Amino acid sequence: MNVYSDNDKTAILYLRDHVDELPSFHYMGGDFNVHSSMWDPEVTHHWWAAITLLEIAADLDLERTEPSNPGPTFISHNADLRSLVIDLMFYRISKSVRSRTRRDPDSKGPTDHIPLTMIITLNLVIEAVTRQSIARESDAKKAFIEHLRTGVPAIALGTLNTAADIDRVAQALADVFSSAWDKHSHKVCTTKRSQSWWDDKCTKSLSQYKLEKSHESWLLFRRAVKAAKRKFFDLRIDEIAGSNKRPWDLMEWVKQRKLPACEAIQYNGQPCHQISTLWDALHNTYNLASG
Amino acid sequence: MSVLDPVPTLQERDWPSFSAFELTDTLSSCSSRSSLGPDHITWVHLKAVLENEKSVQLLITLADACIRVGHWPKHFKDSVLVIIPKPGKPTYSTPKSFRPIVLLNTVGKLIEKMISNRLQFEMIKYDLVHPNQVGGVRQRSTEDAGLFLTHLVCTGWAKGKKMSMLAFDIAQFFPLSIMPCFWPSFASKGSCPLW
Repeated sequence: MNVYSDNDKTAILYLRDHVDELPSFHYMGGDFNVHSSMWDPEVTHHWWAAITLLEIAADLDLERTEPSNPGPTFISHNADLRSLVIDLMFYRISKSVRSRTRRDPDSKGPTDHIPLTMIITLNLVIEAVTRQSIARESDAKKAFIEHLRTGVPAIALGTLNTAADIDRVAQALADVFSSAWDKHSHKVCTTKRSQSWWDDKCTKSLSQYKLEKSHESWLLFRRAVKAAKRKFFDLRIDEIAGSNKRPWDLMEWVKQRKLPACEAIQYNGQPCHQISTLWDALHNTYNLASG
Repeated sequence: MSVLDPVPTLQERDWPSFSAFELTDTLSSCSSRSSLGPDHITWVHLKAVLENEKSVQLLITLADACIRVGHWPKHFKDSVLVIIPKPGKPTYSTPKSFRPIVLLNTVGKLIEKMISNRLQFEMIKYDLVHPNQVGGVRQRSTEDAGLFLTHLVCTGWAKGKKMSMLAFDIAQFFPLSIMPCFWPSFASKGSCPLW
């Protein structure tokens, strides 16, 4: 979480009032405009704003990390004013290691704040979004349908007089479906920059360009992109105009909705941070007849 | 007859085997755009598979066997739960701001739809639902309910009466409808002769 708190301590007051509603964070950092003897040796006091800030951080399971090269983080353009420590970084309690955080005065540039860097380990928390998929209109898709077409009629029916017989046939169906899926699907990695029109030719020509770095291969890549876009959008137009007749699929309001801002779901007054507590909350809300 | 009188039990009706037409007719009304369940099979895939006569027979035999034996295989119950935030809520901190939907396996859904079509047909043919019931009956909509209500109100007004309305909603009705009560009432309507 990035924070900017002005001289009236607006953000600190807001956080103090809403700390119970926030999910757990890996990191909190920013310009807090708070002075304290805890982080600035030039300051002699440790007043309520600093105390509140530390309390908020503790409630969020965060702890202030001292840079490995401590010093001022704000150097005013007005040379008469004193340099200050007002930019702070917080990290998970028990994991805060001094060497993770450092000030980087060399890359300060024209700004009056000194950049702070911190190494945050995000193991298993933010993974690349990968999923198994079969591309539309691809050869794999045709092969997948063909696999199903030959697989399903080949299932031996036998006599179906008991529950076990039914389970056997249903399982055989499930096996045909899953083997077809496993055989023909492949892993795709979706990123923020993934385009739905991108195809194999684009990938090939891009890697060719990266190898050669020549003007010709760049033109080839551009051509491949243009062709891929045209093919994709012609198909889309054809589908919308001809087969599904749903022009409103192009409107904003049927597109993927932006997820709401990060907020912990509250159940019985308690924020749910674990998958198991979330599950219980949803289950109790929607499935249980609790009266 | 008052509400306290026992509902007369109807005679059991036959449950004939499913026909190939019932299956293809049900399948043709399925959207090609719906999301897929854990089996990754969409209606488009299933339509391609069921162009084959043998596959059609296989599914019909399986559906008939499910009814005859009274068993619903586990594969048909496998599901994926997707939680969708409802749009335009002031806060997303309560579970009520989200809508969970369950995606089931396609073949199971097809057989369920065939059964549901049968029940819809029987419901109307043998007059099993109350004429005032609007929910869950095909060709009856909210508009019908609204029309009926305005008709009642206007009739009252025409007679020079004051009209008022009491509306209530039973939360979580389906989880509350306890199976032991459900089956006898189903049987008393002459359905499900086989189990």
